[in-house]
Amino acid sequence: MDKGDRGLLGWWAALVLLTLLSFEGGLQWLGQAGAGTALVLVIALVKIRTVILHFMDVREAPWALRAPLETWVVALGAGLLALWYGHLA
Amino acid sequence: MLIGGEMLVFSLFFLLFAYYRSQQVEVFAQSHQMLDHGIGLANTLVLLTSSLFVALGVRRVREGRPGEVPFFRAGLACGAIFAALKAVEYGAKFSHGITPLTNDFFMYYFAFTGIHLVHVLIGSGGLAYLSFVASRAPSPGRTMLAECAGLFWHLVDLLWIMLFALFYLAGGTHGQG
Repeated sequence: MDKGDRGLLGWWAALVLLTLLSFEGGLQWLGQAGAGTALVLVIALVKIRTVILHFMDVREAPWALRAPLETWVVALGAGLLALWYGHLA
Repeated sequence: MLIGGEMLVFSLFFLLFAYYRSQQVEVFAQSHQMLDHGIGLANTLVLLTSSLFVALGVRRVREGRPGEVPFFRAGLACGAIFAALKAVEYGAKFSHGITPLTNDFFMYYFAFTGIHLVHVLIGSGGLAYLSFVASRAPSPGRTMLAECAGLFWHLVDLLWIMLFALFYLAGGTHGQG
């Protein structure tokens, strides 16, 4: 297992940790259900970006490929949060 | 192009779910409680782990190192576990009389997770081909095949991450900020 493999293992551990953190009870310290929901969605987007950058190797891709994917993550997050909190509904 | 198209189509699915949830907050909140959250979590961990295996396998193919096949087979096994858990989950829902016709939440649940399951099966086919059929000899064709199968598998993983968040974690909450 070389440095690159250990890097992938590290990103996988981070993804597992974020998954467990966002599961039931993991965000109870926030206190408010609404804030917890927003954080659940943001954590999901962070995980998606991690998969794109480190498992799909987009971090090494030309900016012309990376920019649309980064934009997609941000736009999806903005749309979901706006709908969830009633600004577009 | 295929992966970009899939991401855009699923984006529409996610936004549709969020829109209709905002129209029927109580229905979605009650239905969300009826999902098996433990199976959802297990399937998320299984797919994340499969993505690690596939990424490790693709690195070996790309760098011409031996030992990629066990990683592809491990990824394939994870895909089989995911499909089996989904079958258990669907079976439990049907045995309780819950179908896509129950309400809008379950219509979207069965439709979107069903379409995703089809993607899991297609991705599993790619991993199976790499594991059991394709020549093991290093070649540009094999590298391209591994890269494409790997990218598709990671797509399956990242789409599930959002499905899990929407249906199992945030799906029914009343929160308005």
